[in-house]
Amino acid sequence: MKINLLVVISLMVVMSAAIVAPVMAATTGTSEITGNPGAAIDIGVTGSITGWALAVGSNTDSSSVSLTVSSNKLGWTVAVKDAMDDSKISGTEGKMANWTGSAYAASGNLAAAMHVIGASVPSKTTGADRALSGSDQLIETGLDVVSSQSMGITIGQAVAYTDPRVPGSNVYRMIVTFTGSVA
Amino acid sequence: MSDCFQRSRAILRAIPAVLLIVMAFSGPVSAASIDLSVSGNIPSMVMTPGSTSQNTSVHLTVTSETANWTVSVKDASDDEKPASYAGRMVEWDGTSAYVASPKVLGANMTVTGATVTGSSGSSAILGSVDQIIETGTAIVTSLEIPLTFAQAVAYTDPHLTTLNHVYRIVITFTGAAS
Repeated sequence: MKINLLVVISLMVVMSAAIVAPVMAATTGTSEITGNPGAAIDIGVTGSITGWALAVGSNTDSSSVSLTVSSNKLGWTVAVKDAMDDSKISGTEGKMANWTGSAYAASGNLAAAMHVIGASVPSKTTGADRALSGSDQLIETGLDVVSSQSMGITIGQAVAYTDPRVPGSNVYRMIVTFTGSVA
Repeated sequence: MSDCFQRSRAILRAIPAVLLIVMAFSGPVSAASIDLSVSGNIPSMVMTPGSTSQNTSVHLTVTSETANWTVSVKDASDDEKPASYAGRMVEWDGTSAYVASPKVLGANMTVTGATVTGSSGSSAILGSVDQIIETGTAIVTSLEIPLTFAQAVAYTDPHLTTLNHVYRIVITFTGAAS
């Protein structure tokens, strides 16, 4: 009798399990994704100074040129140099030179190098004042990752009595090249 | 002996009642089933600052014996990932754990299931709860469904400089059929 009872109970359990089997069935899978954005910097320079009313003495312009930086890596930098564009005459690196309107004249340049001063933005970037030359010099060093961070650029130019006026419609001219870098 | 006999009789008498109760509280007797697999991982997703990077190298394979099935996605915060970062890629030490005070990408990942014959796909911004990215329209056998993972990366999402550290997320796919 005991055996019969066990058989009946077992059957009941099996039947019940079959009857109450879940209506919903589910299965899962996973996918792992990893990555690291590459170190990057994007800079934009806006503005120029045309017809600068240079006077003997110290001249500064802090409103015409601005710099915008985006970078995802701490320690980004922006450097400036005179890249000697447009076949600028050798020996005038960093100095405004005599421009005819279409080319640099064979001679004539201001004696003092132009200064480029990058502004400091608290907790974002540290600026510096550099006398322009033919080599890159840092004017900004990033303290944080930034997105479209604006910073003022001041251009300084000393003029001496010994700097001659250029003839006719000629002007003194300089093209400043800004370069952003991430190490 | 008599007691045992009486107890057995009582149990036998109760069996029909038990079965009736079980049947009353149960639904259909057949279970729908679905089988789902994910083709793999993305070990080094290309991410470009200032843009939304997309990867289409992973697909789902689904078999369902009913036409009424779905696939959902979520970030289950596996491996002790802080729940508050669900849906976002978090700094991982490269081997076994999320780092303390991790860097976290600012945007949630988006997962898109393709629309294919037998299934209608949709997009989901990944979070901690299941969101449907595929809705079956037919019985399918080993149906391959392309997936697109999209991750917006801003310049304010730092490049990780610690050796081997990466941003990581584990996406859980769940299939259900009825």
